[in-house]
Amino acid sequence: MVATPANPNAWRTETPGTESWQRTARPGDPNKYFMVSCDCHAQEPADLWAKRIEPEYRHRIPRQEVDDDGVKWQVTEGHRPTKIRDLKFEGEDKDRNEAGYDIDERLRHMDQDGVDVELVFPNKGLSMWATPDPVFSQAMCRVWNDWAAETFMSHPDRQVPTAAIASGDIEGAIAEIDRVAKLGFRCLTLPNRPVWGPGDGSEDNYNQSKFDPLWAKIEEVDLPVTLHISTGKDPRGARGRGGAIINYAVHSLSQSIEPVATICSSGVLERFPNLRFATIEAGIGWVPWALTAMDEAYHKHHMFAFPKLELLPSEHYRRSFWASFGEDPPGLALAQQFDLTDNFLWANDYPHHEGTWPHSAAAIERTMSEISDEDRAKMLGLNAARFLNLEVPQK
Amino acid sequence: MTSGSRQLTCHWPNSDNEHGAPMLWLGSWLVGASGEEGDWFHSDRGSAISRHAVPQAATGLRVRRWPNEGLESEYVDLTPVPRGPVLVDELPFERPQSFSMLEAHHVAQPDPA
Repeated sequence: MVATPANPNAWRTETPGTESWQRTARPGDPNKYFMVSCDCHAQEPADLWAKRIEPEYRHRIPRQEVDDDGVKWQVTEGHRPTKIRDLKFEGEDKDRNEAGYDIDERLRHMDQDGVDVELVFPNKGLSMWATPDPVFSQAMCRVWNDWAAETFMSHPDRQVPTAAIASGDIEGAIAEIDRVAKLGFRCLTLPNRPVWGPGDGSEDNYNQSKFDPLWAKIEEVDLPVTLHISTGKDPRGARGRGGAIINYAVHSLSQSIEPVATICSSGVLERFPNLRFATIEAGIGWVPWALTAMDEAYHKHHMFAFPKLELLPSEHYRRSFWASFGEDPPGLALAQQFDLTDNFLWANDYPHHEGTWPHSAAAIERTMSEISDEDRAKMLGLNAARFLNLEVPQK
Repeated sequence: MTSGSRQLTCHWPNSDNEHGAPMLWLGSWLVGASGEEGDWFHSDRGSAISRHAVPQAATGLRVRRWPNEGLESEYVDLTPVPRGPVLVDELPFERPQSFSMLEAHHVAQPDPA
């Protein structure tokens, strides 16, 4: 049986050391890598959407319900109701649970973890896309965008908030992209699927030409696009034994393969070659496999593959896609072999429990010791600078 | 929303949330027959006595509280708008509400994780 240690977080500080490293991820190292965490999360005020959304949508925002047996459920339009557990956090887990509300505290936490720049995603707001109604979703996104602009734009050298767009409402999305570009956002975040649902082929998806006006607008404003996990369909697809693990690996992380394949195989990147995309929090181990599978399908199913492409799907990926990871040894082991060292983006997923804050240096030392100093520098920050158009400070 | 001549008084209690901070409260008007919400009229932490002009279109009110700010709010619907003062401390947050979205889902399933 797998043992439960007395301190379940003790492993987080384990490190093989940095004996052969020319520079490190340690905050005190004067020669520290330039580090961009490409997946961090805000802590929105609890009443943000209840206060700010247009009145006609207020009764539809996520909420708690009590059933006839007195059991509490979290209810969101696009999710199966989730039973609310009475969890009490302790120690470091409590620190993570309560971190990130205050901007000055966030900046101190970034310093503590060696992070120079954070890319900020919603937290509670990841439910903004969890509705089959993209117009309602857009209304929730507007609330996040207004608040994120007010909250995260005072330290542009340290924090890059993402602007949320409900892409299923194409006309509304184009208007919102114009608005957020004027507000000064430097990055967009779209859902993994434009319309929330099971993905049975009946819903709109990014391979359809009806989305061309959306891509044209994004090219025009020249903003990179992120695709965060759990934003296309209900990530709670499994129930019962093993549910937590099944839902994380299969229904949450693996969702990200779909927009990659959809965009790389459908000619979107040939009509709009300046688009830049990144999958967020899905890891990287699957990327070499997915590129191989897409190319295999293009060759072996040549009689079915349409449209014919100027570049293989894998070549489109290497030119236009990035992927964030936290601790992903398989992906790091294959990065060089599959020519993906320019495409991977490190992240500490602050302040989430599956992230590495406040021990990111130890996690980096555990998982990145087998790759070169140059590749570490790229994945820890320089690739992100290219994706996000950030200026890299000269030391 | 156009305000009528009626007044509503709410007594917001001095409760703490699970983080040990004063509870966050929010009151809003219900304006339709299916739980639709109009404007909110009170949003604050901790105890207060607030007075509000009742809009002509109000069919009731919804009171939210956030015992845990990492989770969504708990709420109580009051229809019609009460004639007397609303004592928020005595509202039945632990009971099913009139305009539940749970009915649209299949709740009688085992815990997913």
